[in-house]
Amino acid sequence: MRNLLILLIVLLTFLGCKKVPKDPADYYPKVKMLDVSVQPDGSVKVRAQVLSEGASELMHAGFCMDTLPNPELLSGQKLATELVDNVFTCTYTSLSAVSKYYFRAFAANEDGYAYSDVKELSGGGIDTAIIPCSLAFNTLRLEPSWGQPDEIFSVVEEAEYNGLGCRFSAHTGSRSVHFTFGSRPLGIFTTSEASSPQPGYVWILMGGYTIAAGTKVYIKQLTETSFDVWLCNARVMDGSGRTLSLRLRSPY
Amino acid sequence: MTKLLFRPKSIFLLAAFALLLLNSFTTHAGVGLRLAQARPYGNLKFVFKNAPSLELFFVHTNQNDRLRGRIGGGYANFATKLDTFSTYDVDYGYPTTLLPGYFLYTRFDLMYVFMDYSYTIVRVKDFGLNVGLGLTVGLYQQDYERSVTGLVHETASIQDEMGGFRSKIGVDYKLGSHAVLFAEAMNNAIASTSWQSFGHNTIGVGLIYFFGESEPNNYYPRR
Repeated sequence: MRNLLILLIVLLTFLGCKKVPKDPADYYPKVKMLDVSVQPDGSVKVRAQVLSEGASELMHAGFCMDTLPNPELLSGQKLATELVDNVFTCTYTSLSAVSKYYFRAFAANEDGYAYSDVKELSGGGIDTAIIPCSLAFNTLRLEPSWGQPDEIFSVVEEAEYNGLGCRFSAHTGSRSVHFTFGSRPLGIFTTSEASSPQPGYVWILMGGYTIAAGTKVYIKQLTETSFDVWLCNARVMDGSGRTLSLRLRSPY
Repeated sequence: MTKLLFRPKSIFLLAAFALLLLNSFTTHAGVGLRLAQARPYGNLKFVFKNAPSLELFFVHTNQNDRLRGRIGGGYANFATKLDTFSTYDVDYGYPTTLLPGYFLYTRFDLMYVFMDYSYTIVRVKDFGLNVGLGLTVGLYQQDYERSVTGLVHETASIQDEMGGFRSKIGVDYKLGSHAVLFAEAMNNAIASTSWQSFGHNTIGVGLIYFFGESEPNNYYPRR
């Protein structure tokens, strides 16, 4: 009996420990990309799923993105803010519609981080079906028109990039419209009355008058240097109460 | 090794070793060697593969070899499972960003002295089943490189004290009048002075050579 008791005590010292993984990869989280989808506004929504938290508590999850295959953690990193049913989501905006992008999810626990597989995307950009006005190519329309026909842009300059943003002008026979973008013109921007707009905003000046803030401007990229622009029913701040709609292509 | 011998925690074991050595002239004593595979568990298992370990020891027994004491030293050298281990740090700026990094372990050794006693609970002819408990103190040597992009790049060589308990279960077989062949499984519950766990199990085999001519009827009583 005494011998059995001794044996039991010693055997117990071998037991009771938490089982830990054998393969070091099992200590890290496991994560996989679910999908990459272009939203109507041209933004790109990426989703991934945490398959396993690993051997310790999950601390962070997110995505990295690059135009080169196998993006690393610091390339286009976005951290997810919530995990729902082990699925997390992030949205990328201002991505070129003519470039190929590679997305990779990652998840980090207390031991380290691990990547998912890679998914690629090409041919993004906004869905023009969401644009709320219909205009002919390179057209400017003021409403009420007071009997005047739509004007046609005869010259649209190539965008001149300066720092983050760019600027260009478009000319009809009787007036000029100047655009100043706060960042690379992709996706949906919002009009601003500030002459040096923030990223995502555009300042539009027509005949010395600005366009009221808060109207959406739709930009669809065609090539690295050309894009189409739509503006629908934006109020001109000239006291007339008229609205401006336009569609143009830069350069033309 | 010199540094190890003059650690305060080692003094106790060294004193016990000296007493045992003196005692070995008056009781049945011998020397032994054990080759084992050290199998890390806990956090150690994450990083390190199973490793070979070696122990050399003095042994003495009481008159009927029920109680067997060992004192000696051991060494284990662990190799990593991966070339590098990912790590990261967080930059809580705007936006919050994970900064990638890695750990590269270039060396991890355990050097220790130990003292343990085992008790034979079953003996059938020349076979015995025993269990044992003991103490271990020593040093660990850990060399590593740690890098986190834009934040830190460091190499470090740490040598620090560790200690803990060992418990074992084993079987032995008497080979002639001088030698005993044994196999044992051991749990080494060891931690550094900063409470970093270096726990590992060992499974090993070894040989004990007794100095004096043994008396089978005395040392291995038949049931």
